[in-house]
Formats: sequence, structure tokens, C-alpha cells
Amino acid sequence: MQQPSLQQFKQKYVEEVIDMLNDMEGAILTLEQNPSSLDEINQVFRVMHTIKGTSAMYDFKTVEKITHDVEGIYSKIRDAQGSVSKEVSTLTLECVDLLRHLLNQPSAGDDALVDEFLARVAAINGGGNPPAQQQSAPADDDSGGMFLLNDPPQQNFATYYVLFAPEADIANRGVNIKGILDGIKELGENTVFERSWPDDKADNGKFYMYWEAIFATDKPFDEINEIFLFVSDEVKIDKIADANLFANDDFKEQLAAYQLSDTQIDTDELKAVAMLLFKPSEPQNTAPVASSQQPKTEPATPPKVEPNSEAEQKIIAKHIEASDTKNSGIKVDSEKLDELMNLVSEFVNTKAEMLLIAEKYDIPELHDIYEKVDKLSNKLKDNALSIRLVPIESLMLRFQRLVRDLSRELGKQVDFVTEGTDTELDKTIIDNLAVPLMHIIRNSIDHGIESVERRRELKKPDHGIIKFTAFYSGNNVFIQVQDDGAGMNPEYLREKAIEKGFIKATDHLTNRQLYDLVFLPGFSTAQKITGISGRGVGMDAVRQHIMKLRGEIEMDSEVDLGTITTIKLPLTLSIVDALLVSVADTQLLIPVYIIDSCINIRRDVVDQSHGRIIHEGEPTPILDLRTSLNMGGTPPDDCIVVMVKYKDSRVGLVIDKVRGEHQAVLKSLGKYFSKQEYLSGGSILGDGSIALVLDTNKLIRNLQK
Amino acid sequence: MENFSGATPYLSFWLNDKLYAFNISDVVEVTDLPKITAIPQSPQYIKGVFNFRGEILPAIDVMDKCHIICNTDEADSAVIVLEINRDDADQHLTAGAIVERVSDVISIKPIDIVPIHNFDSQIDASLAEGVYNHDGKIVTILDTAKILALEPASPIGQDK
Repeated sequence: MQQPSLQQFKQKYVEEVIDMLNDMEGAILTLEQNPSSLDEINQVFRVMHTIKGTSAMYDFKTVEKITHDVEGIYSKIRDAQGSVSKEVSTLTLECVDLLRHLLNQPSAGDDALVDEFLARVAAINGGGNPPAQQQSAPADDDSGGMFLLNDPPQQNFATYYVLFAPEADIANRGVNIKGILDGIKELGENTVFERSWPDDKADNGKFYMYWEAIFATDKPFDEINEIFLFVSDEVKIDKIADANLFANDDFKEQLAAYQLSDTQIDTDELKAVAMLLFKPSEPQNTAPVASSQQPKTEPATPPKVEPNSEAEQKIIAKHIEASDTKNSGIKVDSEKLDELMNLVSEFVNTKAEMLLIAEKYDIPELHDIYEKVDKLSNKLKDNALSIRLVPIESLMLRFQRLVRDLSRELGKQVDFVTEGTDTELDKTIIDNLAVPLMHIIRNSIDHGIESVERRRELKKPDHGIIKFTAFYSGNNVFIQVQDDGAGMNPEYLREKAIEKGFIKATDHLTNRQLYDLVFLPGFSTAQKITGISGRGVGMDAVRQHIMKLRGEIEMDSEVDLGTITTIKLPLTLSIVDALLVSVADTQLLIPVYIIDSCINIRRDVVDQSHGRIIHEGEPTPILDLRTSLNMGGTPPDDCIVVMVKYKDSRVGLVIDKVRGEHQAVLKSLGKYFSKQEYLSGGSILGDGSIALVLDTNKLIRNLQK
Repeated sequence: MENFSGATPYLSFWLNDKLYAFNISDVVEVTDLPKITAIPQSPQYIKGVFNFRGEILPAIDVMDKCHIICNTDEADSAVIVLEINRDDADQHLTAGAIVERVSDVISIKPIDIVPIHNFDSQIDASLAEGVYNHDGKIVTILDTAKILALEPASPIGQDK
């Protein structure tokens, strides 16, 4: 029992540390822009400190040592209110990489790496270091490394309330409940209430017991938080007062009363009690507080001096808020999300089945229920979908780091600007976007942005700009990567394409078509191959990636002004609102967002139309799906034309009949139909039959050739 | 899927009055012939797609795939759902094979499978592992991977 749970525990530790490192990486990059930003310095310090503490707990001695030394640097910077030099920030980024490496795939040669790194840290740390404290620390730090070595000067006492209500699976997660409770007890004077849930709440998915604790401590908030590091989702911490309430007998009586009762403590009430006990008008009550617990001579004024405590309250509130926002998310295995999506899809299908029965047997009651189920399932679907949606922001950190590292390596100066990074996309899409976008950004830095000298010749600012923009448009998300670099020369592309035999010298291509050539396999335009890009597989692979996501990619460029790459992506890959239509025996789905209108038309009009009808005063091309898709059968006398948007105009698709609207849960047709150019997938209807989802853009493009 | 005697179970079925078989470890399930939705512009041997417990699977006409010329009136009645390379996403393939009628499961020792040659067989030899004499009846053992292969049957030695 002990072994596997410790293993799980370690796994969780590694995940948490990696998360923290990711956050910290962002902070360091901010520090590079603004080297004296206290928030970020504090954040790095905090992260290093926390990792140090937990690493000690799990016996990751090397990690502990590294974080300890790096923490030392930041503690000095913080204390001196100094700023973070480039040297330090680079070192810290290396520290992030090193830690990631150590946690993910430790290998034999690591010791040398670590020693080398530590030597450099020591060099920075060397100078005016208070050496006794910093350097000898790890030796006497085997108490668990949980505590600040260089605590900020004595903080005032405060009294906190903690609600610890573990989830039902706590025992299986190998969390040491007793250890947590002991941790609370070590903080200072305390009362811990052991409670069990009342019967009417027994099924709330929680562990059958929960704990409430009230304690007074002079330890900083971070340290209190550390106790709950692995159960942070299951803990609520509330500050009751800025003083040690345990020094007050009335308060102790109140606690005794709580001990007797079996219900959860109302924290508002508790705070009210505290307020009452510590009214400024009763200074005699507070006097003993200061003297009883704190050896230091405290000013005789009550601790609850308004402005001071208010400021402190704000800081605490900020901490609580910070920990709240951090805790409001939970990590879910993406497989579970996929499973949820599948279930929702099946549910949506089953719902349609229900409607069929209701209509078939004409049962009004069932119809009513269907409508309710319909509403609920729509909400459920939206909800399930939104869980999968992740802001594109989550990719930015990686790119920022990429831009920073690459531009340094190439000796270029590049600023990375982002816009609309709160745009949300399906997790699967985001995950699959990282690689192609990385490629595009690499290209921009490597081939796009010129060297500083060249930029000066062109009277451009020294700093090149790579701008990343994301925005919604209809059911799509557009992502653009724009640089203000050298751009692509269409003439050069043309020569290259002729040389490589992609086009003939006599071919006339528009610039847009020439830019499209870079997506061809084996079309590398790099005049010299660098380690970074230019192997000729680049843009081809990028397009493959994007197409797998049902997206499109396009490039536009202007010599010496820059290049812009535009990617168009669907919002989600799984559900599409579509119009269900039929042609002969085949049921087809046309996505609603692409439909402009539907009109009735007589078959003989179609037959004599020569592919064009007048619609709203404009000649509009029409495509008869029956003949274009070789559906066969006899067409009915009355047909329907579904007008769909195509590029900037409209095209009419002639079908037999409109059957209704359908929320199509998109399913891939599989590898056998990957060459299929007119369909984007299939969807299973309520009666179990399959309808095919039309990709009208491709269909029209192909048929108009 | 070998038992102690070294024999492997095969699922045999009828096509055009002859017996054929798939290795049973490639068989997921046998179902009645479902409703098949034709997909425009797909290879001749793929009859379309069908709903297999919420999943959309292609239906391969084994007769077409093996270039067997049909001269019986018997209608297709079953689909054998096949799956290969379950653990390798790139190579993984699953599809239904349309057959006339499923026969039974027979155990065959590898040593009893006799290679066939194009000139003495009714089907493209590259699609079959060999033939087996089952109580006087010839059973042609089909190579599941080749039947499921994405490209139209390719000659021996030119497999990718």
C-alpha cells in the first residue's frame, strides 16, 4: 500500500512542479522586459522556495539544492530591491530547463550538468553574499526544507480558519491526512474539530469526515498554504483576525461551544465574534495578545490598527485570490474529456431517436419530454464543448521562449507581440497547433527578420516584430503570424519552382499562387540551410498538420515589408449544426453557417439553366448534386436549391428534399476515404443511418475546375 | 492465438460457392448485413460505410477486392468486422468485410497451409496466405492486412 501511493504522490509532485516551472518561465520572460518588477521577482522566489520544500519531502536532493541556490539569488535581489540582470534571467531559464530535465528524464550524466550549473549560480551568488546563511543552509536543512531560511522580519500574529473537506478518494491518493493535521498543529496555538458529514450530505462525493481548524500563527501565508499543497482544491482558508485570538478567554469559550456543536462553523459569525472581541475601544483585551505569544516587545497599540491591517488584509486577499484562481481549475485527463464528448454525442443521437418514436406514434407527452431533453442536451453539449475549449494563450509561453532563444542564437533582435490570445479553441486543435505554429514562427525569425545591419540599411527599426493574432470569424478561428522582415520575392519563388520542375517557364501564376508553392513537398527556398529551418519539409508539413485539423493555410508577402501567414481553423472538431437534405437515396448534411438561403425550383428550370440561375437579381452558378456526385435515380419534379456561401459569392446546390436540421456529431470517415474531396465526415442519425457531411468549399472548388 | 497443438483458429465463410477464411485474431465481430451508405467517388471495392455501434466503418466487398467473378445468386448476408494493428495509430485499420454467409471456426496448423500460385487460383494470389484442405474442401486463407490495405491490391513485392 505504501509503495504505490508514494509513487503516485511523487508523480503528482512532478506534475505540480512542472506546472510551477511553466508559470515561473512566464515570470522570467516578463522580468526580461521589466527587470525590477517586484511581483515577478517574488513569484520566482516563491516558486523556487516551494519546489525546494516539496523536493526535500520527496528526497529530490539535487532539485532541492538547485532551487535553494537560485532562491538565494532572488532573495538577495528582493531584499536589495534590485533588478534582475540578463545574466540572472538567462541562468534562471536554464534552471527551469535543467529542473524539467531532472524531473522528466534524469540520466547518468546529470551530475556534471548540475555541478556546472551550481558553480555558475555560486559565481553570481558569490559577491556580497551573506555566506554563512546561504551556503551552509542545505546541510542543516534536512528538517524537510519546508521553512524559509531567511524569513522576513517577524510578522504579526493572525488567526485563521481552515476548512479541510477531502474528496472521497483521498485515501487512495496516498495523501497523509494526519500529516496535514499535524502541519496545522505545528503552526501555532490551535483547535482542530473533527467532523463527519450529516446523513443528508453523506453523498456529496466527499470523504466521510472533514476537519475544521482555527489556529493562530505568525508564519507567512505561503507557509500555511504549503501544508495543503497536495489538497489545495479541498481546503478553504479564511483569515479571522489580525491577532492571536487564542489569548482571549471569551474566544476560547466560543471555541468550546463550537467543539460541542456538530455543525460547520459559520466563518462570518466567527469573524463577527472576533470583531466584537477586538473592538478598538477595549484595548485591555488585546494587550495580552501581544505579550503572551510574542517574545518581542510589541507596541502596546492593539494590533488591529485600521490602515495597517487593511493593507495586510488586501495582501492576504490577493493571496487567497491567487490561490483561488489557481485552484479553481482541475486537471482532467484528456481521455476523460474525449469520453465525455463521445457520451454527449451518443446522447444527442439517442435524443433524435426519441423524436422519431414520438412522431411515429404521435405521443404528445413524449413530445413534451423530448423538448425538455432537447434543451438540456443542448446545454450539456455546449457545456461539454466549452470544457474542451482552451484559450490559445496556453501556447504563447512556448512561443515567447522560442522567439527569445532563437533570436539570441541568430543574433537578431525580435519582439514578439500577441493579440487576441484569449481566443478559445478545442484542446485537440490547440495541442496540434503547437508544432506547425512553432515552424511558422521559426521561419519568420530565421528567414523573415533581417539582421540588424540589414534592417538599418532599410531604415527599419533594429527590433523586428513578430505579431501573433487570433480572432473569431463565424464558426472559425483565424490565426495570423506576421513579421516585418524581408518578405518573399515572388520572382525568386518562380525561378525556384521552374528549376525544381514544379511549374513550367510558360506558366502564368499570380503572386498568391506563387506563395502557395512553398507548401509543396520538397520546395525549400532557403538559400542556406541552417539548423533551424530550411530543410524543405517545413511548410509542407505545416500544411499537412493544419489540414488534419480541417483548417486552411495561406501566405501573403511583400518584399522588404514582411510576410503574413493566415490559418483558418474550425472552432471545434466534433459537432456541427447542419441542414439534413437528401439526394436520391443519400442523406447529406450541409453546415448551417455556410447556408445563405433555400429556394424551391422546378426540375425543368434546373435542366435548362446551363448551370446558372438568376437569384435575387444576380446570375448565380448552380451545381446539381445528383449529376455531379453520380447519384443516379430519377429526380423529382420539384427540387430545392440550397444557396451556400462560397468565397465572396454564392453557389446554389440542387438537392431533392430538405429533411430538417440536425446537430451533426462529426465522425471521420476514416483512412479509406482520405482522398475523398467533397465530404468532411459522416454523422449518425437518430434512426442509426449515416448522413454524409458536405465540405461545400472543396466540393465547389473541385467541381468548378 | 495458438493453442497447444500449434493450430490457429480461422473464421471461414462462403463467397461464390467457395470457402475462404480470416485469422480469427483479426475478427472483431460478425454482424448481419447492415444498411450501407454509398460514398461518391470511392474505390470500386468499397461499397460505402455502415454504422457499427456508433462508429462509421467502411464496408469492403471481399468479392470485388479479390476480383472474384460472381456466378451465384446468393445475396450477401453478413459483415465480418476486421481490425489490424490496434496499437499503432498509423497502421491501424478497421473495416467490415461483406461476405455471402459465415461458415464456422476451424483450427489450422500453419504447416498445413499450402501456398498458392496465380495460375492455379481463382483469386489474386498476393491477397491469400495459402489454401488448406479442410475435409476435402479447399479453404482459401485470406491475408487480412492485404484485404484491408488502403491501396488497390498491389502485386507481391511492391508493398510499401
